Amino acid sequence: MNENVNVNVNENENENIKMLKLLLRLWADQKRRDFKWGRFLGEAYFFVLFMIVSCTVTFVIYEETGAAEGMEMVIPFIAAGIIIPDFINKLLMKHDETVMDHYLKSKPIPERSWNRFLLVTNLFSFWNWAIPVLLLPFCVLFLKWQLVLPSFLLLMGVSLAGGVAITAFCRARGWTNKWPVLVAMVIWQIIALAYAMTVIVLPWWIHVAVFLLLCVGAVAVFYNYLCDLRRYDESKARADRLFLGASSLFSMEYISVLRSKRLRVATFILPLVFIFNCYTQHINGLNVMFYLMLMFAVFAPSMMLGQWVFGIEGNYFDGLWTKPVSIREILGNKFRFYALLNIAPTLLVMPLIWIAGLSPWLLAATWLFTAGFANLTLMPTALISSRIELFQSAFFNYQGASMAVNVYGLVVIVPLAIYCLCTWLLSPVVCAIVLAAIGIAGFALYQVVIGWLSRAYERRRYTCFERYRQ
Amino acid sequence: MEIKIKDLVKQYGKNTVLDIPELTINSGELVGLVGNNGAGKTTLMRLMLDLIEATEGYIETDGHRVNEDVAWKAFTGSFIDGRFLIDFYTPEEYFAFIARAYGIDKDSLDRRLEQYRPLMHDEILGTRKYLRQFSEGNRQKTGIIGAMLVHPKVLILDEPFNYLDPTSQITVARLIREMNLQFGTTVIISSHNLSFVSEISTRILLLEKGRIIKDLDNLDSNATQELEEYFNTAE
Repeated sequence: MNENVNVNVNENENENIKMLKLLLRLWADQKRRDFKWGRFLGEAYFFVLFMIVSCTVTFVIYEETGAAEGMEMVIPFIAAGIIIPDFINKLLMKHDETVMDHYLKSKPIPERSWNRFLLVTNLFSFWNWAIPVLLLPFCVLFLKWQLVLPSFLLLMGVSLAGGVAITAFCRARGWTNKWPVLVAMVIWQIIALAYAMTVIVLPWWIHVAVFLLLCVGAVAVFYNYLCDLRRYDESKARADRLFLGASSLFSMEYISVLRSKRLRVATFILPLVFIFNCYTQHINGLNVMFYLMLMFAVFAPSMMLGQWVFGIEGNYFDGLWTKPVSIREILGNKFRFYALLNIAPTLLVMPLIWIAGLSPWLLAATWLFTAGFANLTLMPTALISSRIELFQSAFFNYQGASMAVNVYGLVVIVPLAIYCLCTWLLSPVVCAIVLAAIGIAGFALYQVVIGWLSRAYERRRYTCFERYRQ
Repeated sequence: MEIKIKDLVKQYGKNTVLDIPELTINSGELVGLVGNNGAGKTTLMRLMLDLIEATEGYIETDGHRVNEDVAWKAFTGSFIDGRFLIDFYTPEEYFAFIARAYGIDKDSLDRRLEQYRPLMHDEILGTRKYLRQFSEGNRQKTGIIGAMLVHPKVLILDEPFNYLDPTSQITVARLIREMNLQFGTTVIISSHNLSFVSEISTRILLLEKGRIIKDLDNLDSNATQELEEYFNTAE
């Protein structure tokens, strides 16, 4: 009897491994067939930019401090310190396949194989590698060569634990199931920070080895929770509120944001990060860095949506185009909607007027500049943007991105650069006047710009329609 | 509303998917487009709605070229596929949006929606569901109703009987014919359902590999036999 049980267990295990290999092969095939050089180069370009920044910052610190002895003692603190920021980053960026598609679900693929597949694919997830790789220059420059690899492995271990936690979080349905992940992350953060402090007591190698074991333990905890989660995919969501009185094109702007979790997170959650930075940055004084954060905070909601003007409408543009609906009116509505969106973060940073002595005129001018000018620089993405899926989880899911959009994204640097130059070179009063003037000019001229843009869109509409269909 | 097609060609690369030298659809006709898969029915409809660019030639609706003038939109109702639906809207909101786009007031909208109640079967209005949560059949019904409730002078429906249960198919066929008779709407529908198309169409165009190979008068439903013969021998 026991032999029969053992044979059955072994057979099941072999079956699980076979299915896991099948899933991995399917996944590899999908990645290979979805691979586009244009998109890859666009993403690589931005990652290289971030690496350059990382290397530059590291070099600057190295120049000023030199390769100090004992820098490896910092590594455990860095590893513990990135846990929560990394989790938040992945919450916004990492897109996880947590549930089997129907064509898999209807096949005899065990749940265990699927869960192992989720674990293995986390090893190859870009967002699990991003922060450790970005911190690699620091490890290489400041540590002895024998310490680089274990340090990198430690950072990877922490990142992987966060990655599996995100997978569990995405898979969990309802806050009853999501809260345990958040609580576990906080506990993990506390444990990691507390343990990091023991680096001054324990030999470094032993400390890192035990830390790695703790990471493995964290991965195991999140993985076990992931395996325990049962998910039933039938959507029972009902409209909380009907916007029957709001049937206009303008109302479509805010209804789409309110009803798409992906857009909600990008529009309302991400700006909070910049607002938080404003409140922490002012401690160092109202310098260029602070004003840059201020600009980002005010600009963030429209900047997130404006990356892909018509990305939302691309889902139903055939329906829009065949109705007596004006492209010019849609674009004008977007411009006005973005201006309204910028008001919310402006109001949220208002307390800095009293806390940090921020000039109220400069704050108002920041809004005017953002709403009237910076948003206008986003509108031309209507000509090149693709359709975005409204109901996927991560905003920076690269579906819909194109090299053209990535390159055009650099145009956003123009208003940011103007703003930084003004705040750096001019006094607050003059700066406020200049920024306000630019913003008011933008409001005065936006109809002209929108008119030109709508005509340009109509000239190349067929290309745009084709792009939405892909 | 007369629709004129002249020297219309659509090519994808070297592949010609549509080639119609001349075609006039007279005002008030109910035209059925039939043909095997890939015949060019949907392509023709997309060209009529200016959703794709013709390689050569043009389409005029009421004397206006559809790719140069937007006047046709004010009197055209259409539904091709899911890209006509706004997934984050409920049906009520979707109909309200259409009504607003076409200048239909709320009372008129409510009155017009009443006549579609038999088609909706209590499964569309009042459910508080978003359009993306509906079954394909109910999405199809919503799209068709959205096209018809504007009382268009030109109605274009691509395979309107798809995904519908038999009762709904009969209802849709009846509603299309009533619209054509009551308002004189010029209707163009495509379908693989020969019996419905033969029953309601006054004229049937048979497409094959992008060309119109038969233009049949169907005023007395006498095209059915010819169509069946064609499709039987086409196997």
